[in-house]
Amino acid sequence: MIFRRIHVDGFGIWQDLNLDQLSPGLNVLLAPNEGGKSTLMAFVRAVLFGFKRRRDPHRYEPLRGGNHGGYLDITTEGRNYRVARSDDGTSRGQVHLTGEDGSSYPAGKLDAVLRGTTETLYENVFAFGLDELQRLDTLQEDDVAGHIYSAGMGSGAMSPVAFRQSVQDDMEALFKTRGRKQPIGELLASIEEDEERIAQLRAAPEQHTELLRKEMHLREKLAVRDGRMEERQAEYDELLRTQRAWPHYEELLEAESTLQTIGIEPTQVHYAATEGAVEARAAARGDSEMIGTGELAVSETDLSSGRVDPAELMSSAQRILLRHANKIRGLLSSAERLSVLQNTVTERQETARSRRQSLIADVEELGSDWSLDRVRAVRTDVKARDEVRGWAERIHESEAAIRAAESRAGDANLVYEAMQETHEQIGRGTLIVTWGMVFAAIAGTSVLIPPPARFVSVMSVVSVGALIGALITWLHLRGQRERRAEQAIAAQREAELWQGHDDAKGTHSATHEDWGEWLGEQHLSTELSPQGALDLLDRVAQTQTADHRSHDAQKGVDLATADLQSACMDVLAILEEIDRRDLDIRYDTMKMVDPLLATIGELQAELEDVEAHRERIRSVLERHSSARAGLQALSGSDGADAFRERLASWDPDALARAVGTAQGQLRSVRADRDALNESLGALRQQITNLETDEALSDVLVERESRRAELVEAVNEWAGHAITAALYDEAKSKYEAERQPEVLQLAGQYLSQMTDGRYCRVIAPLGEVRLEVERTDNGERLPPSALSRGTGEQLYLAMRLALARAYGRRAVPLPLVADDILVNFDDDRARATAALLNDFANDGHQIFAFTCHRHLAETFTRNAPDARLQSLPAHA
Amino acid sequence: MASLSFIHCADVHLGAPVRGPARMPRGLRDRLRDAPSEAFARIVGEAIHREVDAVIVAGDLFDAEDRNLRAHVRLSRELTRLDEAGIDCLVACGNHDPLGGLSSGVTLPDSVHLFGPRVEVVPLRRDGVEIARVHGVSYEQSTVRRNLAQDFPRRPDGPFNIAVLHANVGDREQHGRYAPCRLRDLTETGFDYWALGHMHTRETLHSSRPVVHYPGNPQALHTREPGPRGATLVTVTESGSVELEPLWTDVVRWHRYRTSIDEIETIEDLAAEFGNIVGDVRLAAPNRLNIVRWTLYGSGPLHPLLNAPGKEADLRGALRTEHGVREQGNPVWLERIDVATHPTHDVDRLRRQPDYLGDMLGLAAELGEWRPTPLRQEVGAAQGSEQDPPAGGAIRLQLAQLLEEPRLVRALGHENVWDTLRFEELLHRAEARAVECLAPAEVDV
Repeated sequence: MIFRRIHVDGFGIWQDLNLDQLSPGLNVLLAPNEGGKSTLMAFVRAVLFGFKRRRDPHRYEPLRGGNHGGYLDITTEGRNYRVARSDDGTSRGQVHLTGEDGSSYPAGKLDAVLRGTTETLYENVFAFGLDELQRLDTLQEDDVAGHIYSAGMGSGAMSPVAFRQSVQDDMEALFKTRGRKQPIGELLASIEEDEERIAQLRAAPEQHTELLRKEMHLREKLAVRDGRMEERQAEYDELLRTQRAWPHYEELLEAESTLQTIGIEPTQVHYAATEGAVEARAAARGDSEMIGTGELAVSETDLSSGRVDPAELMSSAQRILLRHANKIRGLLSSAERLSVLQNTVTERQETARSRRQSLIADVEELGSDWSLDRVRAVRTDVKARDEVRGWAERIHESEAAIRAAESRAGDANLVYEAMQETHEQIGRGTLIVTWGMVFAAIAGTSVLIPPPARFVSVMSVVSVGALIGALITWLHLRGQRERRAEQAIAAQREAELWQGHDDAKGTHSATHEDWGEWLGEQHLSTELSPQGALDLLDRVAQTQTADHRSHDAQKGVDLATADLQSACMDVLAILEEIDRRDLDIRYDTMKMVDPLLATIGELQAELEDVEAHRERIRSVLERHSSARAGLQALSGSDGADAFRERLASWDPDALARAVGTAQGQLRSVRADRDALNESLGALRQQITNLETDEALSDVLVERESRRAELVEAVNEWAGHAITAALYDEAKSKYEAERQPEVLQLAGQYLSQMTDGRYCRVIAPLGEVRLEVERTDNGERLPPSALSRGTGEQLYLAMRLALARAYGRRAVPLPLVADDILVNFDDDRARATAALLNDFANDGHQIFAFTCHRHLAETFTRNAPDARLQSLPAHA
Repeated sequence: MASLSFIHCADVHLGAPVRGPARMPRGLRDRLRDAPSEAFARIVGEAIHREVDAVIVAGDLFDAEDRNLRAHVRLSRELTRLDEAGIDCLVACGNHDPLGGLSSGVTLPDSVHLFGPRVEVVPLRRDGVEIARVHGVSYEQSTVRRNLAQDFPRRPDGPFNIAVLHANVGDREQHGRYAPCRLRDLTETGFDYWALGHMHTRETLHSSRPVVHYPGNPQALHTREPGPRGATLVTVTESGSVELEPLWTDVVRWHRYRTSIDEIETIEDLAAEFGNIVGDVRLAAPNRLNIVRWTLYGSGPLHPLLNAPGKEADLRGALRTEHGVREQGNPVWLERIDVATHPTHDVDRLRRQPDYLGDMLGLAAELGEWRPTPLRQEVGAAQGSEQDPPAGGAIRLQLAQLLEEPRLVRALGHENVWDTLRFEELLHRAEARAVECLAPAEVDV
């Protein structure tokens, strides 16, 4: 767009100003201070966008007359328009847009012509002075900033900076270097703990091997202990055996000593091999001596020869005795037996006699008519007693029947007598009373009735009384008749009952007779009552028992007598045998029998001594044998002799001490072994625990689970990290390659103005601020770090860039700049003038106001195409 | 020849922890803990049930590094079960369980044959009659860079020759250089069956004489091993033909599902979709713990909601509660929802806009297949590498703040921290966030 003419009707100090010699390129307008440059700038803005509000100092009401407003003749996109603004009473004023041909356009058309350029944009980009150049905020207005910063930034739900921050937050929520509270830090710490635990648990195989080695070692030790214990046990058993054998050994020694004292060499005593055989077979040589009968050895032939002197005879008798020793012993024992039998017989006879006497007394007690035979004939068994009791019952019943009949008959008699008595009483009493009453009534009535009527009335009463008396008498007679009939019946009944009584009596006497008969049959007195019979039977039964006992005693006597007889027969038989054998013993010899018998007695005594001696030997031998057997049994595999030898080496005290010591040692070894066994058990348990310990597996799984969790967390974090990296990379790329066109152009312009000292103007992605990059070192500086002049150059560059960019996109509005080179050094002022010349030549009309002539000259020298003109003096 | 059958398994990794999802209920985590042991117990159970002639383990039976005594003791117990059933067990050691890695206190039954560091042969007998020969070799150390296949004999004698080897056949880059060899090294040897281990995914490299087979691992160890896992029952008929039957032994199984939100209007509809997934999973994989990773993609009204901070976690929690979180039987655990949905904006148009959002999207698009790599691997790489796309350096720098934090590196152990990044998804989410926050509303399509 270019302004072909600027015409002011009235605006501030200007009235009827007409500028029509305008270059389509760079116009340099020189005017002194207060020469109306700013007013002219405000006029152009007011025509295009409206007047300012009424109290706004920039409204520029006309100060020197003329209508408020004026017009611009513009050419844009090949067409000419006139835009006129006049005061129509509204604050903004009225705009008229007319075409080349004078045709009017509606007010909205101006927006289209301006391509939507807003007033703010215009003021900030296209019309600016030194003040604006020195203030960043003029570029921060939304309309402007959008062109600088939003270009290429999209317009999503979140700003880029907020987006990047949210990604960073997400990353840090999961992980921070050296952070322990974030999930990843926590997991790392937990896994480290797991690892430590695993390292400990992984020592299990070594521990296991070590434990197995220990176990083997313990088992070996245990085997040694077992062996030692067996030895100790054997020792102890041996000593214990020895100790147990000791009493046998002592007894054996004693027995042997005894044997030796009686002349038996213990070594020559042999025992039957059979168990319990204690019968000694003495050495054949010592047989006669042993049994002690040597001195009885009388020759049988000597005795029988008869040629013996008394001494010989004595000797002969001795021989006989010897020969018949057994028989004599038999006789002696028979004699003893006979004596016993005799005693028995005597005792039994005594018993029998006493029982007999007792029996006889019993029989006599029964009565003089009683004999033993009668006693024996009486039945005293249970059946007989039952029969007696039957009789007693029957007799009792018949007696009871008599008593009952008697009682009934007696009762009937009483009834009859009572009836008769009543009858008589009624007969007398009733009539007397009746008639008495009749008379009393008549008498009473006569007294009560007054005298005049008394007679008649007495007569009437007498008649009535007579009538009543007659009636009663009739009734009485009738009752008498009835009672007599009843009396007759009672008398008959009584007679019948008496008859029954007599019958009962008959029955009773018959029973009695039968009872007497039964008693007779039983050989008992017929006078006996059944109870008497029972008592008698008891006594008879006792007598019968005494009879039996007497009989038994007699039997005992008989048996004993028989035994005695038999014994006598035996003695006789023996004697007879002796007699037969010794028939040839001569009489003188026979005469010697007495002394012989005396000798026999002596011999007998001697024999008993021998027997006692023999018994002693037997006892010693028994003890000897038992002691030997005891030793034998305990000797074990040693053999009795070796065992005995060993026994001989001990004494009881030493043995007891040795047993005690051995027992102690055994106990100690056993305790040792038990302790080892216990250790072994504990070790085995440890091994089993180790072999079945789930801890390692558990921790491994636990760790893997945590690792899985960690991998998840790492992936989540990595997702954010990748997002962050992509964002950062895109940002760098954007900042390097895709800065808004504005900033790129600004960079070029700044470079041009600063002779290449600064090469780029950058807006960091997502941020509303600018940085300037130095060409020499790439350093980025914020505007605040620039000198005033360079800062103004930056902002000028930004405006030129914006104007160019906007011009490309919308419409290149003419640029109005008010004294912008004031703070530029000469070089930069020249460079800027040249830049503006080029810029204008690129089709962008510029109005550069200045109050400095040297600056105007700078333009004319460096901007060959610039058209310089002075504003007319308005004063 | 006599028919025979054996179970071929590998990479059991007993004692290694299964890398489960974070914050699982205790009961489910216990299942993870025992999963490899349970899987091996299932193999042993199958071997006994099917009365096989042998169990062959082609390396990495256990993880020596974890020194998990309990797992070793349990291994010993399981092998004793095999021993008691009269089944031989032939074990080659791999990079995770090199020779000598077993706890010295743990003893194995006599019927277990551990191959030595040189190829050796063990006859397999039934009723005293040789029915096969098993050749094998173990790793002496955890790193074996040599081609061990070359040590196996050529044209071996015997009724049926099985070679047991833990190796990276084809020298695949992602799987480390463990006894690398070429398939031809195996197929030209004259063996009947190559029992391989090392690859965790079941694969048959050569299907007829020789059969060259990886059974995969019997139990997946982490989320990157989805799908069924198990061992292989190998049956050799009298005619010498070889049949392979998979035995699925895993007790924990990972699943990946993808659902487009294009047609989904409400969160309730989305939850119903997940309900269907749970139903499918339960049907397909009974008797085990199932872990589901669910990816949502496409564009629709749910996109802003799903991408709101914390929303994925909320939704995950709600779905876990609603579906399948039971500790017994056949639980289904939703591990994670990967939200890869995109906004309704015309992102391509936004990318062309000459503004910084356009720049951001453009930079993201330029990354293409690029993946961030650690900074310190390069000398003087503080500003990124020249091969990096424009934003690559910035991303690496930004990520390095955490990813090269020494504590994190230590915490994740062997796992390369940078490898744990789901970069594509993260980039997608970064773009979505930028568009959501920075794009002008009027450009909505």
